[in-house]
Amino acid sequence: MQENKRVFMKPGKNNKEDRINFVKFWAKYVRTHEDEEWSRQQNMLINSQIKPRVSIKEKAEN
Amino acid sequence: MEYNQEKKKITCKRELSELDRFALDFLGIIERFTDYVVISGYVSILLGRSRVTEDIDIFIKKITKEQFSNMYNALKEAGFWCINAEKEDEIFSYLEEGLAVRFSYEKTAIPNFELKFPKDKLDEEVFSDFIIVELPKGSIKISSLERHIAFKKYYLKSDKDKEDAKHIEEVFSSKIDYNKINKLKELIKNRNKNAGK
Repeated sequence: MQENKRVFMKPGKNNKEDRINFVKFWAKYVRTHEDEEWSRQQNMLINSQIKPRVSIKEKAEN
Repeated sequence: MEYNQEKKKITCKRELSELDRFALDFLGIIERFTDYVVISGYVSILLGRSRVTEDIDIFIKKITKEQFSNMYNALKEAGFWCINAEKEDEIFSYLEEGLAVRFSYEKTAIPNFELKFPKDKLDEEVFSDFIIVELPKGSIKISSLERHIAFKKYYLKSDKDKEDAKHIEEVFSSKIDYNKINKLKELIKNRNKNAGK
């Protein structure tokens, strides 16, 4: 069982540093939260840009 | 996520994204005809990186023209098309020339899969140390985390690539073999030197 705890991000001094700090922050979030939790948030980003489609596997199952 | 280094297996109970479904669909066909390993950006995304991509890169083991023909027909039957050409001779010749070819679902271009044959020994080694990522509805073969990090940091080197590498280093921090990364770094440097890069 992973511990679900609040993590904080250090603001960067410039855009590049801020981006890297967010990568570190998010990686820590992934490490400390359940897969279902971080992936649900990640999917909001991914699925907003990719059209849903019934997969071949799901078609076969139905 | 749980990474069992001995078994070279990562268990990830993630909710599948549309990109994951696309990957499982496509790779389910590819693996009937040849070995594959997913490389580059999608490896980081599958393992949690917060970004999107329009393509998924894979190496496939070299296959004969006949094997390719069978694979291409199966892909078409399943609803995929090749963005680069329609005739299988032409697509296969691109692969043999060391070029990558892209496939997507019919009537779309994004997301797409970018397939290529390994071009040298260093590329071929991707088939000897891959990791299996077990998902709730299938599994995907990805390059080793060390190989992924080394290529992102020392070959591709853009800010995005370095961030992809950083994500994996941070998520799997204690399980990364830095000796292996340093060895790969030297091999990549030699390859770049030989290629005049």
